[in-house]
Amino acid sequence: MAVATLERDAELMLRVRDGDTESFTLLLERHRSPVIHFVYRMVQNQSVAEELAQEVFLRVYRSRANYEPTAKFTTWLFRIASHLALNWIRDRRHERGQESLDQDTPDGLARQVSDRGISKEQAMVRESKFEEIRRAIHCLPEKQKAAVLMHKYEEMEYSQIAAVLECSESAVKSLLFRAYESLRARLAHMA
Amino acid sequence: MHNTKMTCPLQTDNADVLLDYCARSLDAERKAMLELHMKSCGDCREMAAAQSEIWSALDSYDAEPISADFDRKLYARMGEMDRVPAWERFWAPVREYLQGQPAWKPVLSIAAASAVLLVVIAVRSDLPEPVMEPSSTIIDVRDVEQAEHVLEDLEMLRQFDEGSSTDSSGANAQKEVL
Repeated sequence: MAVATLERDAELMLRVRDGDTESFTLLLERHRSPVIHFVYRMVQNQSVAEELAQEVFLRVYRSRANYEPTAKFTTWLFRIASHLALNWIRDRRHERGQESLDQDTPDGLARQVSDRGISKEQAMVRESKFEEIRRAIHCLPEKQKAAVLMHKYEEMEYSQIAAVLECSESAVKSLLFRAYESLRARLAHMA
Repeated sequence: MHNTKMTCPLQTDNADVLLDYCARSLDAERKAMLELHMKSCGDCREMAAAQSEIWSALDSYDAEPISADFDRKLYARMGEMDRVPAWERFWAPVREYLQGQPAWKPVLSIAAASAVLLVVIAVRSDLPEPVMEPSSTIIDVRDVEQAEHVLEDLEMLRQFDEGSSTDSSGANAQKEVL
């Protein structure tokens, strides 16, 4: 399946290189949500996530003339996405200095209880759980955070995460082990 | 297959086996080996239970819905990009990269200043250098002049001597005549 995905994405991208904008639309359809969701969980702000995701796809489009299918398309895509997200986080930290998480106002806090079919109490419990997890992920070091998000939500293999983060596979395993260890410690009370 | 014993993943730096087990991405053979191992290993059992809880809890971290105009905005930006001249398209990513690197800003200033300095040095090195006579040459010229003066003086003395001797011989002759 991974090979088929690679072939399909690479084939579409090669068509984009040859001027077929319809293929770009197909690539966007396939990867829009994963990229935006990944960036959203990294930066924890929806409007920033969409802005950065647009930049990801713009960079792909801008690089179309030089595209060669040497690596998996999603590896390339997520490498751009993680670079942009990590840079944004670093720039923001640089601008704001050491900030308190309590002063942060991510979208998660503004989420409205809009789910139908569940009681208000259930919705509040769910919201509280969401907030706890958001904070726990927010506290992870950036590379650990990126590794966990790709491992958990994008179901990427260690080798692909290593290619995205430009480190060794054993380094990825170590990042994930430490990240999940922190999450288990922080969220132990939820178990 | 089930008889193969697994060494403890936690004691052999193979905790990823437990992560894979909780992510349900472990192949059947290794899954069976791990489950057999966990029957006798409390640490692995405990970690697998805690990791499974976290794995499930993370499922509730939903992403936000995507704006309806995401594609429209993206295609508008792509259209703008296509209208930009080729040289600007080449320069834009470089500029964006440099703008995103605060540490490069002072380096760029220093590099610019160094470049200006190098140009100034290069231009100055093209100018003809002032011709300096070697000090030995000056001494030689002075020596020649001095020698000429000495020769002139000697010539004057010789003429003076000749004149004197003529005068004295004439005087002697006059004395003899007298």
